[in-house]
Amino acid sequence: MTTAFLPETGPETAPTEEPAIGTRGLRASVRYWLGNWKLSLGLAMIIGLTGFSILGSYMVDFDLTKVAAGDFNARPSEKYLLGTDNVGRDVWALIIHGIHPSLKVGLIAGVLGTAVGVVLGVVGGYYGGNTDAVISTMADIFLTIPSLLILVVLASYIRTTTLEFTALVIAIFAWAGPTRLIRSQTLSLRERAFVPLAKLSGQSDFEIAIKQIMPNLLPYIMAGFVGAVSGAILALVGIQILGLGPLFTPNLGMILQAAYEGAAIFRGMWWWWVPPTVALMIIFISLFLISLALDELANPRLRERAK
Amino acid sequence: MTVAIDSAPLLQIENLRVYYWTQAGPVKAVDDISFTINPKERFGFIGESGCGKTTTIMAILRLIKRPGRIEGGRILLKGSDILSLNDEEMRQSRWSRISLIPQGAMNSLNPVMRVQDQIADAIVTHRGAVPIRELRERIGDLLETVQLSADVADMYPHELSGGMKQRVCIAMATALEPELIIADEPTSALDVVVQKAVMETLIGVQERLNASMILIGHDMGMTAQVADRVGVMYAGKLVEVAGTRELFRQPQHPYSQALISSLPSIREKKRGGGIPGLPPFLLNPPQNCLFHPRCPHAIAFCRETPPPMHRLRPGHMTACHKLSAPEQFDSAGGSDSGAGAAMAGAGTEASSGHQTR
Amino acid sequence: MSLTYILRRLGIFFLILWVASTLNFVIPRLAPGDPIAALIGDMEEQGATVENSAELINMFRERFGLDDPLPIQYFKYLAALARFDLGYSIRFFPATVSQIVAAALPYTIGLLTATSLITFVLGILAGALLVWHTTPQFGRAVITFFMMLAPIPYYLLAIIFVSVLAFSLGWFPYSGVVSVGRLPEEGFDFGYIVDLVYHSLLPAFSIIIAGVGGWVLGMRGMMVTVLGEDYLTLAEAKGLKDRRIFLRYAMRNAILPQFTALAITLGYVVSGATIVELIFSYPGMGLRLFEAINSNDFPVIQGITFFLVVSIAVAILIIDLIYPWLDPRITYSRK
Repeated sequence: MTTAFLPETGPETAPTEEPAIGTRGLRASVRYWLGNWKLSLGLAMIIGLTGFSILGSYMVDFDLTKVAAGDFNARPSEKYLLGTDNVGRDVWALIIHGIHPSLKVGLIAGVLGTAVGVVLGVVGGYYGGNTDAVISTMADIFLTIPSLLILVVLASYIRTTTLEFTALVIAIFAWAGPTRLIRSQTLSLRERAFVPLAKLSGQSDFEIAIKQIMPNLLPYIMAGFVGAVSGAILALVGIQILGLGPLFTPNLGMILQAAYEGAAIFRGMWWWWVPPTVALMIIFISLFLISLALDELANPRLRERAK
Repeated sequence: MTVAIDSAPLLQIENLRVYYWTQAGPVKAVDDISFTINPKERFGFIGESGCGKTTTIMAILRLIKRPGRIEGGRILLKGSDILSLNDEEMRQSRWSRISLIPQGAMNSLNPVMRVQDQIADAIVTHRGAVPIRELRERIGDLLETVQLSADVADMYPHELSGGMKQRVCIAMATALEPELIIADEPTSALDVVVQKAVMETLIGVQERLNASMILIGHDMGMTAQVADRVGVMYAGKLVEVAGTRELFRQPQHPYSQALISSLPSIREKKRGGGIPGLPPFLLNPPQNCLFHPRCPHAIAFCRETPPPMHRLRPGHMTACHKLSAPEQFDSAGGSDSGAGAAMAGAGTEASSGHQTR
Repeated sequence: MSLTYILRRLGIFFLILWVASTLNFVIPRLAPGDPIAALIGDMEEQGATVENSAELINMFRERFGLDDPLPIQYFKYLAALARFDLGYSIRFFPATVSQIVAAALPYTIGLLTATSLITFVLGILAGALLVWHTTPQFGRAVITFFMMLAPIPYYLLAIIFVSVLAFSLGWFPYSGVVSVGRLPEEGFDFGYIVDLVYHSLLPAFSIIIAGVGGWVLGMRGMMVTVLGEDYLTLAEAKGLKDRRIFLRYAMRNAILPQFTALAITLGYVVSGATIVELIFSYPGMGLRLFEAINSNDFPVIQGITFFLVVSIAVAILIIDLIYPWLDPRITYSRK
């Protein structure tokens, strides 16, 4: 009865209710993706930034990121493309060597969080009952607790760690969002006709979860992953601004924190705080665009309407 | 069941066209249909799902949503064209002159408002503020006319059964005593026992208000019992209009014949046959007579010339060349056996389409 | 509202507190060695002089019962928390953690309550208008612009605001909660309040602008779903005025999931706000937290974390208790 007042004939109403199942839906999805500017732009931005940083790392001397590598507080010039900070580090070199470690933290925490989220979400959504009650309550609680604060407590006890360790710590909170998302989708997929059908045809629960439910969860898994990556980078930089991040590997949060501590804004040293801010904005905006596109893929009603 | 022919019609639809603009081109959901509805008359629409029945009534309420658009025609309510009203005038005409009993009564009530507030909304919007006690009394009375207790007024939709929700919708539709009540499959979501009772209630209030009614029925048997006149729609076209008894006893259009013979008849204790083939894909419809690919009588002329609406006798119109231009069929020497034979094979499969809905 | 519903919500309230405080208990114990001695040792190594360090160590050992077996420690710790007894600040001994928190909490709660409410209302309204058919094109463009700000974190926005609006343009103060040396006068001091609000504007703007986009996005998604509902078509067929359909039929239903989302995002908002406070030197919990981090004042770090979690849990409890009143179905569908 949901389509009660939709035009009775319009073929455009047909695909809205079902996710991408079968080749026709899949082909339509692929075509949709390729033509989606949000997805293309988002991917282009993030891939471009990553490429810039990784390729740049081979071309720009890492030693320039070390203390007293150059003049102190130098304005941007031919020698220092983006000037230097208050301890003589070259900001251009810091940015180039600092982008990919920040993305790496997001990636590690995002993969871990999403993997746990998919397992817990599918289990909770598919089996329901007490298992589901425990999983979804815990996910809700972990979402509720201000993760940054707990991370602050943790980081304040375990100082001076590596980026990788920080990523693991952030992953403690990164699973809750994906779990919630995957769980609710599994729940609704379970009600769809093809699951009972698969059951009747003698497939086991595990087979159904892998073969029937997983493919349909794909857009949501990707959305959860993008959200987890973005959340992890957000948390990392937050911890760092509070002065609790890893200090040895150059990364965006560290540059920003140093700029903040060194009162870059009030000393008019824009070349110090603007570049990391812009790089972070590019990261967050590109991930946001990608997740918007994934949202539209999963919920076709959000797509811009055809004229 | 006789209708006063001499009085002026309440509603005249002339050459109404409603298209849905898709990326692939226009879908002619309602294409050039004309009919009239007389005062106090119950007019039924039948046809397979997707033939444009709901689109037609939504056009009468001017509630066609993008990408749909009313492309042309006139909708005259007591002689004045509602398509020429501005938005505010149209808003005021809705409900006070034309009300709707929606298809999905299950989901048509706002889940977070009490029944009383939802009915009061309609009254207050059109009639201005009413003292609360008077309003309560009126709503109580309305609920009683549909055999509901006045207590229902204080309930939320989720506390009501499907039949009760449908009755609330009927009570709401009659709150302002409109001249025309449009009922879009008013009983489709209900079980059979409740269906009959709800339909009786609906007929009761309609007769009491002396309103006319347009009835879309998912159940042709019900339509046959209730409607005074019936229009048969096919692929956005009105193909036949006649008095109910006449139409069901002697349908003239080949589509009507097929549709009505698909009805299971209790008297003859047999399952009805199906209609060969499927309704056309409206993005790329057949040319001229839309039914010709499925029609057992089709000849080349049907593919080449659009059939006009033809008056067989007073009150019985149909759009079929066989009836309006029989001479063409004489010269063609009977039916185009090719099309008929091709369709015969697909027949059994397609029969369930409109029956189970 | 049924009793079971209330009990269930209370259960979740205590569950949140329990999980947060347990994490707070476990984390320090994961660190190697005796946390208190190590902590004070650290500080002395760094050249800080800690007065009465022996006394402090004893006090902490006693309060944490660090010689007890772990389960006993844990229960003692929970019992102390239940009395809001978080011990003493290391840096400001003999001030208790509760005193320090009590001084900072009103600023944070005030800032957060005001900004959260404004953000929510603005975001919900804008998100609903974005997909409503009578919204003018210009309005949609403005809303879309704010929606695109959704991914920018609070702290980046705060940094940009400080730099542009406070530093370059000088329109706003960039630190403090009132002008330097300004104290409230006897009785009702309107000027003081104005000063207070003026100093809160920029942090508030950062939080609001960083938050609105997310609500726009969520509400837009929900509105699109509601717009397809049958009751909206019927409301229109009833000839109701556009505004009434928008408010009472469309928004009223689309808003419901947003309330659940509100509860879930509070933690995120609080996290963000602590950093915004730091950037603006706004003397709330965030700034105190930063100071505590810099002076290794662990009891204060934990105390601030705990009190912020309590505040969030209380807010969620309030939202949960309001919710059935907004959605009449809730009492029946959830047992």
